[in-house]
Amino acid sequence: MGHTLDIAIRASILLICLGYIVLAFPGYAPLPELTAQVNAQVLNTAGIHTISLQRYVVVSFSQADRIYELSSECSGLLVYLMFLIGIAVVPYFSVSNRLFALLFLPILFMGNALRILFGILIGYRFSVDASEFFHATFGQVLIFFWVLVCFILWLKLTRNFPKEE
Amino acid sequence: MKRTKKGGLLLSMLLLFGIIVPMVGADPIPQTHLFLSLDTKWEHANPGDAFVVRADVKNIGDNPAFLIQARLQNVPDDWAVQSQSFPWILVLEPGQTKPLFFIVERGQTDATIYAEAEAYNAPMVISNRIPIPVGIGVIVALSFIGGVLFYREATIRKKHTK
Repeated sequence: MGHTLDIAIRASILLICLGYIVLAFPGYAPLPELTAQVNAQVLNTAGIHTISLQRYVVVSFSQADRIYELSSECSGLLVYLMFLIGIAVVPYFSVSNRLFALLFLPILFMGNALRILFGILIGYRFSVDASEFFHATFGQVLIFFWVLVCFILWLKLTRNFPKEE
Repeated sequence: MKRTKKGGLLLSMLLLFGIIVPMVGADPIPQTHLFLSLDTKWEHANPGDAFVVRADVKNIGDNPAFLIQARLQNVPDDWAVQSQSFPWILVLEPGQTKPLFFIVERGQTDATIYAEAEAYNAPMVISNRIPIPVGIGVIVALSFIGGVLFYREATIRKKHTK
């Protein structure tokens, strides 16, 4: 019974991922919209006037308002998929451990939102070029590093982390 | 010169915002913000091709925007730009979008044009978007690393259970 339930949960996770990739194409709503809203909220709290509009974040720079466009992949789509597929594909985890992994989705979301926030702040403090450079280099490494950290943390918390023989 | 209704309105608004409001010394017009997107119609790959540029201006703030104007930027000297006869949007309510059109005839030089729009009570907004993409190389590399790690983990776990 437990094994059947495990198989069902793993298959469901994979099917949901696949379904989302196909059905939500190309906009992948509501990920970009949510990410834009969270970033706008945080930036407004920090005193930088920002408005989110669909997948865009309009930030009041000193000279002019600049528009940041969040792509679907950059709204965390790949990050969540990598994490969820990893959780679903690897065998011999208990059902509760797999369900516990779902709690890491908000943590992944916040990590990705923070990465975008850093990029915008760099643009605000320095220049648009610096912002683009950050996204193209450190930002991309940071977010995948964040997935790995979440995965390792999940393994540790669920006592599934491989031990030395 | 024939005075049109729109021209008269523009004149009175310029008079109000340019002379009367500063003279009174107070600015009663609350600030708002604009969103600008560009779209082009017709092919324009070769020198001499004419095409239409549509600049959609949206008021994304909470207050009405007044006297909105858009300009094309990064236009090479050998390109000709003809804006519409009345290149202003007088009033834009919150959430409302209105277009401004430009007819552009391209020259020899290649260029990527963008637009800037501003209103009397809204700061300038630049249509050039700052993309936040993910590089395909990074995706491939990390998917490979992730795949290897997951495969290794799966193999170890299978071995442990045997």
